[in-house]
Amino acid sequence: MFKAIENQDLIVVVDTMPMEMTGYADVVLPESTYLERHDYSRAGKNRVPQIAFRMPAVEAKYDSKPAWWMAKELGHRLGLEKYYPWKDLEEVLDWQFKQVGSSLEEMKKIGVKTFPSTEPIYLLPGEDYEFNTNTGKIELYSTDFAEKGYDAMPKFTRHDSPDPGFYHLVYGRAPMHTFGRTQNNPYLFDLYETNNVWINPRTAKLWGIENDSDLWLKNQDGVISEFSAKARLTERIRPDSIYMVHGFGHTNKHLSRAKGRGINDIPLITKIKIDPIMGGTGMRNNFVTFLLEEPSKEEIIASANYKAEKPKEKAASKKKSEKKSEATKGHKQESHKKEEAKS
Amino acid sequence: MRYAMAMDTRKCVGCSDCVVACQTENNVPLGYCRDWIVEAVKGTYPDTVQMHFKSERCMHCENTPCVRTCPTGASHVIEGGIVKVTHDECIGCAACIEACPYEARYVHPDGYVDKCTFCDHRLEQGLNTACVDVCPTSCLIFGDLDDPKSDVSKILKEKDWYVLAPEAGTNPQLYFLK
Repeated sequence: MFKAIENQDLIVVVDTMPMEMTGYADVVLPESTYLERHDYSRAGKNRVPQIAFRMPAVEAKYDSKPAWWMAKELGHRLGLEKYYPWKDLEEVLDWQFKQVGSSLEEMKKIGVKTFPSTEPIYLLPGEDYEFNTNTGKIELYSTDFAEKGYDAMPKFTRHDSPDPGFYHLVYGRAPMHTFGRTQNNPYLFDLYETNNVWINPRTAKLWGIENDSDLWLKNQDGVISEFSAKARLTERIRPDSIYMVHGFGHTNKHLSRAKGRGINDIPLITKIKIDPIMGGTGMRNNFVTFLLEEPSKEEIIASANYKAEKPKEKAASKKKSEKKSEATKGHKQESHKKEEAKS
Repeated sequence: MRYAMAMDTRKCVGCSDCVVACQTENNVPLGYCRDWIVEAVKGTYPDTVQMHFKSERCMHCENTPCVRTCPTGASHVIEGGIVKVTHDECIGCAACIEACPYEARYVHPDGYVDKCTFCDHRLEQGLNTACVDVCPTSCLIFGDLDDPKSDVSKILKEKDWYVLAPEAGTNPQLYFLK
């Protein structure tokens, strides 16, 4: 991937946070966050059709701009003014709202406007209805699949099993974070500053791993995690699997808090299965084992072609993160420990 | 008037919105909190593993060991049974922290003891507490127990509940719905 990036002539990144990708960019266009900008209205054709107005709650910080502004300014500079015959998004929204009998003025007051359904949303008993299939019926046996030479009825195929000492790598999300973009937020960082490796107590016993033991992960293809994470012993995970919250282990030094916290699951996912019928990707079929001793930097970098950091930057950011970790020890951390003792 | 809170452990998803809402509403410094989430897991895999979350805070007890142990009178009870600390009368001795069975108090970096106030400054304006207002699953129910028509009175009548550390005899006013 790094090779592909480095072969590009130009990389422009639009993001609200300094992410890994922005480090590779020739041009960074910093975008305002969703709370700082107007966005196109949300329109839902649900049981109750509705439109919802999205407006800034606070003024945009720093030199960030909304994406519509970037598009318009780029358009003007490229001589495409005629495609942007409006001043700002408010003007666009006002026009759009007026098409459905509302206005920007009204939406500013009410926020959400609902409309009556124009077509029935439920089928009535005995009503004749043709579904979008070959037979016009709900197909449990898919004639479409059969025609194309696939299994018309889904068949169970056994998933791969890990070698001894390896565990299924399962990942998911934490309710307090929304992707990587909230991980540097002071309040949310304070709540959940790093991911943990969830391990069943029975598995942990085999390895001599205790709660809060530092560990590194190595996958079936030899890729080692760039940073460590602490073990969390819990019955909420099966003995043959480990679980981590996705999206930690950032490397961009501008993420002053989140950098270097936790294990990034992405480099450990080297095996991806693709559904032969609809093309969906399955990424929870990788296996990892534990490294209890800190691997050398060279070993880590060689295992996955991680980008080696320039030594100068590293020294500076390390100091900062050390200071931070001292400051966050407080009441809450103790309460969280208490929780583990109880469980 | 008797303020109380019910917390539905079946609805809570542990998102900690209540914690951040309280921190921002009450200027609680980062690294500290007046309310917090407890995750409790029972059982061993693969037998029935059960889990629930609790959003905990000061229980605003009817019988208050914290107020009794306070040497300066900074800890006191106001109308509605809300337990409060007058910051400039508090000498930070932390006797109340020792006395509290719920670990609901902490020493603020400025030297006084701080804790949940049931957002009494919001109640005065006819608002709900900050944690109740932001809860995305509406698992926190707040109100006056003396008013039989209040949401909290009704739900405590309808559902089974328990309190924490009943053996401490504090008669806590944070009820956990089963």
